[in-house]
Amino acid sequence: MGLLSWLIAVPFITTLAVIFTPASQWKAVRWISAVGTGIQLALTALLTYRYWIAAAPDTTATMVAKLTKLYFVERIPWFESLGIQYFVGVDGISVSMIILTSIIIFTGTLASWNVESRTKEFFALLLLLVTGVFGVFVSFDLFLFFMFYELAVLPMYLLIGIWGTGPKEYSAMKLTLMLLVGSAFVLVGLFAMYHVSGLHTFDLQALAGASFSKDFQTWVFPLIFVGFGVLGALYPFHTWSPDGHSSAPTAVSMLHAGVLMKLGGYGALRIGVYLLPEGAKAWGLFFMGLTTINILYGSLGAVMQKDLKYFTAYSSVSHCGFVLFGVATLTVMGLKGAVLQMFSHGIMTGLFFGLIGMVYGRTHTRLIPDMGGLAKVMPWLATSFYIAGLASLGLPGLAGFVAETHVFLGGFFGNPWSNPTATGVLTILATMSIVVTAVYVLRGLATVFQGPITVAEYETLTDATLPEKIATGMLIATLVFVGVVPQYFITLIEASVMPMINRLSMGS
Amino acid sequence: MLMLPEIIVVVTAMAVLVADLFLTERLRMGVTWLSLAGLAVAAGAVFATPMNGSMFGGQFVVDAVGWWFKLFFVISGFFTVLLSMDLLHGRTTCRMRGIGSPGEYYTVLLFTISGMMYLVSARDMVLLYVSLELATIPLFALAAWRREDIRSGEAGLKYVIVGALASAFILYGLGLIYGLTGQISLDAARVLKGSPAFWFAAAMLTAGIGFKLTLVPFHLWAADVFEGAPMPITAYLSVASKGTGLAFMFQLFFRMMGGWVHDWALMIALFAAVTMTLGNCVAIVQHNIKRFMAFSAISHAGVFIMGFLGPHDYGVPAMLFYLLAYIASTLALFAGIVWYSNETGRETIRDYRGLSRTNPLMALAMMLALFSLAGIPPLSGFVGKFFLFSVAAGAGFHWLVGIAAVNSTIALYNYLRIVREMYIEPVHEDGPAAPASWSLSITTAVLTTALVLLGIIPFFYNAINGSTIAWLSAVLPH
Amino acid sequence: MNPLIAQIAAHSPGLRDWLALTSVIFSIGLYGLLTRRNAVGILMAVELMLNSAAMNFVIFNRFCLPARMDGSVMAIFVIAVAAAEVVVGMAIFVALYRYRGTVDVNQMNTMQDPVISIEGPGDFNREVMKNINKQYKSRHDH
Repeated sequence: MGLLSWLIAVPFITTLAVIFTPASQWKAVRWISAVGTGIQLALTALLTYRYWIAAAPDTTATMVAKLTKLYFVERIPWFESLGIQYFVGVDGISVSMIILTSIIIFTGTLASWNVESRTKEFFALLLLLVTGVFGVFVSFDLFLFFMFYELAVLPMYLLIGIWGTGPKEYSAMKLTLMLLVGSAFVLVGLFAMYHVSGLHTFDLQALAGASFSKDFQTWVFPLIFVGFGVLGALYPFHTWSPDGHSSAPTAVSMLHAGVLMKLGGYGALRIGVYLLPEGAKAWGLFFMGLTTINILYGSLGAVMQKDLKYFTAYSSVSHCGFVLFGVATLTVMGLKGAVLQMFSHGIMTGLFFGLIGMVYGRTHTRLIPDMGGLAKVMPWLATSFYIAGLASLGLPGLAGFVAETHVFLGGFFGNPWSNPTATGVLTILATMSIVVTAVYVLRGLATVFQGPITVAEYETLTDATLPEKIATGMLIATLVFVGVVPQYFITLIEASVMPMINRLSMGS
Repeated sequence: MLMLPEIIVVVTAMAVLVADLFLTERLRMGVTWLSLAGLAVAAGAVFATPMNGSMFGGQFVVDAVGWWFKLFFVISGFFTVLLSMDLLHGRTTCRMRGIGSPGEYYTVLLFTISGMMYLVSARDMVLLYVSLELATIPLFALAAWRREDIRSGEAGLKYVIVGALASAFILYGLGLIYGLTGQISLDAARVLKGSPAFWFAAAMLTAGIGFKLTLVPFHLWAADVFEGAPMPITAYLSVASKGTGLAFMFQLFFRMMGGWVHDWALMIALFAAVTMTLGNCVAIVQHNIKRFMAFSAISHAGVFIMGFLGPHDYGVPAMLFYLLAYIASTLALFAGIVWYSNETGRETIRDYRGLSRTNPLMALAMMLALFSLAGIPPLSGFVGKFFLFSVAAGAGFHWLVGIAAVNSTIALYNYLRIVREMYIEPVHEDGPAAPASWSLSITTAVLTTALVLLGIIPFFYNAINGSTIAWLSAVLPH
Repeated sequence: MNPLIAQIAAHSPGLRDWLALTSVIFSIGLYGLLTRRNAVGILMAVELMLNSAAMNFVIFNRFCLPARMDGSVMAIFVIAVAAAEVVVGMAIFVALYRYRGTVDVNQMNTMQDPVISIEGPGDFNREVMKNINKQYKSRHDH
């Protein structure tokens, strides 16, 4: 078994270990999960290190050649007669997503330390979900990809339905059904590519060699993009996201907003843009328009929210809009920015939802107007909240700035296949959301943390505990690291988006 | 000896009937053991028979597709006996009135199994028709088995009428084909192409198959029959009767009219789309779990017939594999339903609330089975559906794949209703059910393991594909 | 003599006439099946349909392939199987009659779900459903 198989196996083995722990030992379950995800984090570090060594840049020319190929490839034939195989590998995009997922699941486990009802089932489902997520990021066979993709979506129903708050069953059902309708679109697209290519293989790289006609790509690309876009909260299909996130328990919101929504952008990039470049060109401007609505609508929606979770959920819709916007720009800058935004938003929103969970655990309310002056009693949490907020409004020095700059530059200078005026105008519109973000983030945080303490009981609240400090500290460190020295990440990602750019420019 | 499996099943049926006369009440369990042993030996005999060969001048033929169908029939019969035994021998907490006479029950059940097995080997109209009736007539009696329950009698009545109507349609169609070819053999019709009489015959046969396979709009009997029949028979109807319908459709559409099935592809696609959609949408409003399963079975019929769309050598293995996955998942689910109804007498979906707290393992097994039916990876139902959708896409019906995939979502909504009751709702006020008996526990464990492994280990699909594909590409026209 | 009658009298029925006859019988059977209210009547109608189909086999055998016996053999099998079908059917009807006192198919509606079913939490829905069920029952009781 290679490194990547272990990366899928470790969370799954941990799931099994959790399932077979007796229900009375629910405290041990937390430790098992923490150890499992800790091992996963160590494996990820090892993977990153080995990837970096293997693809170590000497000169610019060889670097591109080295980084564009897949590493740690494992191929095992599976359903041979149908061309289905177990095919895993990583490139720079996958590695950065794996780093993100490992960090989020580890901190998520720490943030769920206080889940005391049906602990065993909670951690089992959480780890099963994360198995699916890791699977998606390393799969290069479409069958395997789709299988992990659905595996990652489904545990969410039970996680929200059992441990959620508010209208949890409604939110859980809405989320599950909308995401699966999205995957139905994807499925149609996958089968169409499989059969029309005539290659009888689900191998992503082999399919890239097929010559799809322009007409074919033009009708399949929107299916793929919208199908994945549902998970990436694309504008008219984003409605599951605020409900789902606000009902979900802390770790689930972290994982869902932080990682799972990235599967949408990842799929649109990896399958949509990579396999169907002509379709992407034909629809690029349309989806840029749609995601501009996404960005503006999400940020304006967040201004109106009173509930901290709804507030963050709408802000996520806006920020995930940047991811899809970046993908739709079809430029090197834009695609790089999209991947960076996936990473930085994942960390940032994970931090946000984690902190909301911690604050809620103390104040037992999430309504912004009900809180006030909390910075006095919980300085650690307040500071962390501010850092997350500043990252989300794109303060230089934090990860959000790097990502958003890339996306805007990519969009503003446009691509050769769309009307430059239109892309420029759309980018300017999208950029305006940053102002709105500043309004809601600063106003919201000021209400919650500044000023006098509004409720007498808040005087006795405590600051973060040790697991909470570890969790938030890790996330903040990552945000700052990527913000201050982004060049490592940019190098990692840049070469890996080149194959897509090459395919885009090849056809024209 | 090609006919050995069928002979074993028939002999077992007779032996059970005779043994029933001589066994005292205390030793009455003997008939169950006898039936189980007979079916196990029959399964072994199926394994021992070669995958090609013919008897009686080519009137009785075993080929790869028939071989797999026979194996599936014997397996589903075996598990149906396991599901039935607690109920028949009165070893349940909740005594069901009017169900008994295990000897006759098993005899009749074994006869339907033998009828199904003969059906797939038939190569002329006489054997085809007689075996079809042998497979269905005993089912009428089984559906009406609970004599003191008016619902059961009503189910029997409806099933008799609709079943006889379907046979009349099939027979009329067969008669026309006979007139066109002048031969009683099924293979002779392969050369026929669309004359008006042929189209009329094809329409008649499609209607007849529609009744057997519960295709919309011929599905109306299913809900009532499923609800009225005893629970294990409901399970049997939803797997074996579906298998028979498919085997029969295969016999008629591939074997008899193989050259023509391409012309009918659009019609099959429309039937599939309408059947899935209606089955799933009507299941949304069902409360009784048996009726719910009836509509679930109807919607699955729509999924199955997608296997008839594609290039031949591609669709049939996918259909067979999905049938296997479907049998494992449905019977695993029914093991849970039978157990719950045996121990508590509860039959509505609401009654399953809180099951995950009181009986976590059973709830887990049922959840896996439900997810497999809904097509959630990595369970076998997902893999089977994936292959069948691929068949439809390969035949150019991309819109059908879209409808089918959206239908999977509706189906998931339906199945999640049960999962929600089991996992999210508080425990039922009337107390938990007693733990499952050993027979139901074994059934659940075996079938749940099977439904998980079938999708992950490629051996099963490769075995089906490898054995059928060579035969199909040699025999059937392209 | 009326020329029409003379023509009919002189005519010896051929394949087409016989097939017309069987299709008429089949249609009568289908009509009976759809309109009869008594289950035994329905069974008789089904019998008509089965026998018209069996006649088809005999007719084709007689006119197309007089040298072989396939079709006639098939007809004999059909008769035997139809008898089995009727036996099982009648047994079920008799058993049902003993408990319900009728085999009128219009009254075979004990298993229908209520006309409208509303699912969801809340006592209101349950009350609504109870009322609908009650109305539905009273409509069908007499």
